[in-house]
Amino acid sequence: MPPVYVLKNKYFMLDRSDIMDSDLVARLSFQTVPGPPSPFPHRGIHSSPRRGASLEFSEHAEYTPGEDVRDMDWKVYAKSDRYFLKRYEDERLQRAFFLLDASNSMRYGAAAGELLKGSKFHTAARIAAALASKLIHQGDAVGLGFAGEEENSFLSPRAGRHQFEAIIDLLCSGLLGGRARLKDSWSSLGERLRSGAAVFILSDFLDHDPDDLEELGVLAARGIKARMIHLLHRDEVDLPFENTTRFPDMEGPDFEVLDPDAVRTAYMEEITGFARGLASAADSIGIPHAFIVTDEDPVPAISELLRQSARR
Amino acid sequence: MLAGLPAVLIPVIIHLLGRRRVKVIPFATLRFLRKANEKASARWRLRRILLLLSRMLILGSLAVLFAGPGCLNKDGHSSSPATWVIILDNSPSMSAERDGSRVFERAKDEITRMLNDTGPMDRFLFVTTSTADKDRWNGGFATGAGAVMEPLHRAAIDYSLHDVTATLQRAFGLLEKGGNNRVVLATDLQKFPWRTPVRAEVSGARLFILDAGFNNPVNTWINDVVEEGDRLRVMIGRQGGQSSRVTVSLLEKDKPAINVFSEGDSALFRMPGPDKAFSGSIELTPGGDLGIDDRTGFVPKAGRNINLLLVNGDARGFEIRDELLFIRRALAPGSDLSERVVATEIRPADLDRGVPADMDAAILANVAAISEGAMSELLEKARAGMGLILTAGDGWDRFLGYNAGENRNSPLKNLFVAPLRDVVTLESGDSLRPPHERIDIASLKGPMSVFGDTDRGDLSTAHIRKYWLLNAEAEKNLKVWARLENGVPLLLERPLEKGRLMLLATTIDRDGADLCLQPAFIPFLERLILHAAGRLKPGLPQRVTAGRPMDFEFRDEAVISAPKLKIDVRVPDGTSDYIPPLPGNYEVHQANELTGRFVAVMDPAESDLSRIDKQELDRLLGPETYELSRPGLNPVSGALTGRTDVSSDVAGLLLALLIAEALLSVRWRRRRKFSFEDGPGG
Repeated sequence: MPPVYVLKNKYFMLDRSDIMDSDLVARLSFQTVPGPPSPFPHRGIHSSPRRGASLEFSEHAEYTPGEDVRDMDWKVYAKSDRYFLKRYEDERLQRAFFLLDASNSMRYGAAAGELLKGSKFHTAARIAAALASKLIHQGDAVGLGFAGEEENSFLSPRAGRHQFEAIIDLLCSGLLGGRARLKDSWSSLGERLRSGAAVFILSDFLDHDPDDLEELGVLAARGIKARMIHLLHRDEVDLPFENTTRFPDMEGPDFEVLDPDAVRTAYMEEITGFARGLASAADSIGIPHAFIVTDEDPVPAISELLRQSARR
Repeated sequence: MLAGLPAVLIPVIIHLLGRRRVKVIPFATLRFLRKANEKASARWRLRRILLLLSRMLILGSLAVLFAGPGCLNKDGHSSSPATWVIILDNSPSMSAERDGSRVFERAKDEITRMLNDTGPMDRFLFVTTSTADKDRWNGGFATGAGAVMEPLHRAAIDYSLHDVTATLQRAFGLLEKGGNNRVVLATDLQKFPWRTPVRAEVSGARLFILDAGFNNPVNTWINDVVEEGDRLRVMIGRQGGQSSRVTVSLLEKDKPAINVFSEGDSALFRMPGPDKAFSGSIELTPGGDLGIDDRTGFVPKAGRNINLLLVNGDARGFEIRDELLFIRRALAPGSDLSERVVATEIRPADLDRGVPADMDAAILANVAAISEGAMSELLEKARAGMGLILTAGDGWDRFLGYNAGENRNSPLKNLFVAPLRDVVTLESGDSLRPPHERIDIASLKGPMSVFGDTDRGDLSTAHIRKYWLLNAEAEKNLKVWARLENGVPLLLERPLEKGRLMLLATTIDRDGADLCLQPAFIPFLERLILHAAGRLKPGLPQRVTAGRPMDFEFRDEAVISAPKLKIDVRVPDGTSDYIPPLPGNYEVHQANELTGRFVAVMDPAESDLSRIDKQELDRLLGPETYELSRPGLNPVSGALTGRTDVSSDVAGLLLALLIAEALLSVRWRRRRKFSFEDGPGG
């Protein structure tokens, strides 16, 4: 029975220490996660030219001497004799959302005796946690959701340390099952997220074809910027197995019995074509894309992704 | 041989077992596996079949390779069982040895190897080149090589005469015309036994010569041993190589060896010992490829001087007309006879003191009377082997009654070969004028037959004027060696156990004949003495050739033995063709006494290992009528057995299959790693 951590009546498939990769965070600290411009030059790292009533009130921030008093909330002063400024939504530097593929295929690669540790999902969670930490640190709002057939919580993008802790908890307790149904998730996100949000999609995309990415183009039209992180396990790209093997499908009842030696070359052609097809499709609709094999260092790919994101 | 062939099923079994036990690896998606499988399956199915086939063939080839594969070659003879005559040269030269390898064993091994490749229905006759085995051709052909394996392995070196060409000719003559006939000769190609041309009269008979000899044979041997007075000369034979120094050693029991070095063709020794006699063995080192001719025994000459007893019956003593005057002259020092005959002269009365011992012959010249005791002793000596010759004289008249006296009953009459009957005197004033009788040359027999050649001595010149007549018809065993022209027996002999009694019916002095004055007298006398002493027949030869008849007649039954050679043979009286089978030292025992020794040696011609050259072979056999193969250098060709050794082909096939298996099998290939940048379209 793999280790399952119980905290506050929840079952955790991963341990916090498995997800919090301080090395990864540190190596990403030199990167800036780009987003829409901010109207507050002293807050966060983004600048925004937008001002005015069309902005949606988001929160009160305590006044510090030197700030513009035009957004002073005098009603609050009257009641509390303290000075607070109104903050509006478009003042938020970045709203980021991490959509993790929680299908069964993401379990692949789990170490012996482990549920998820070492799996593609684990790698995705590590990357998501590192990016979320980065975003939270730079003052952005981060949310998290899963695409799969299991019931999982949904975290709307919020800033702050508490949000980060909630994200970590959710990553640790994420339940995997069934198929990803990413297209459904994308549609749902389009309704939940406002324009200007960045959606990081971490998946193996094994259930999808390049054509499916067109839906992401629709999201882009709504101002929701998608970023693709394509994750595959080393076994899935090299097919290192020998002798006739029975391969049951992790997401269904089917299986195949074949000799990996016999099909390896053709398989590698297929998987390479698939990965490059996705990359090309993402590129064609302007979606930054990173391809990561789980046993490789993700930093170069993510760095490139962030650079692509900054250009677009 | 093909017991390993079922191993070809191993890959199939592994394949079938492998299909049952498969690993189970849950995989993220089957989408790409299926696509890949569709793409690769057609290709891979063929590849798998080829891989399985190649592995089966590899194991099959290995099994066949270890079985020593062969296939029938295309010549017409291989289609039917073959008839083989296998000839093994077992002459002494086949004993040549170098570095522990003996030519004879090499020849046998080659024949054995060849026999293993022959067909089960082939017929075989095995013979050797020895002419001594008269029954060797009588065995007939037997089916299957196994029938000749036992006689082949039992065959040994033989020292009789060998004739390779005669054996080949006989072999060809045995084969039926038109059959699948093969004659195989395993030999060292020594020149000596190749004597006469051979023609294969049977069409279709193929001759194969397996050369088991050494390419450049070298040999040194003892050719002969010759006594030269008090010296011994050992003749050395050499063949091949340069003249090298050899050591010849005289070896006698309990005595130090005497060594002489020689770089020539002989080594000379002074006879060792105070009596200058040697009896032992002679050894030569180094001896070359053949070892049996490097050592020989030595037996000294059996001949010694003849001890002759002369009993002078003439009362006048040493006067001019003394009975033994002319015998004494013939035996005078410096004469030829004196070197061989040692004479002791006595008077008849001296016989009463006893007959001198060790006398080989005795001449009683005109002895008229002896004592009983002397007669008995003389008879006893005669029976024991001494030859007793009585020559006539006046004193014998008393036996005939002319001078009546007591001598009629003299014991001497017991020494006559036949009773005296009469005496004939041909009176003439001149001995050269008639009347006289002459010796009839045509009547000469036995020991005197040599004088039929007057060059040996002309006895017909003698004039016989007085002769004694004997009643020869009264004795059945009498032999008459000479007669007068009137038919009267002149020289008679009566065998007496081991010795003989002889009588000359005239006088040995000038009283009755002038024989003693003739030039033929001394050779006549010598022959008479030698015959009486039993020395006229040649003695046991010192050296004979092993494997050949001795050409010596054994008087009386003899036991011939050679203890070191485990030979012990009894030969009957009169045997003259005994063949010593092996080289070595032999002894002859007769009546439980050692009567002689001889040494049998190998024919020196066998020691010369010079090989016959191809030109000479062509001359004897005919060009292109034979195939010559050399063991170890040229494997027996397919033409010999009708089967081609395809081992090299199978080995080549095996190598090709191994390469094919490696190429078909992807396991060894370095796996290409996934690279996003290097993928299709990248």
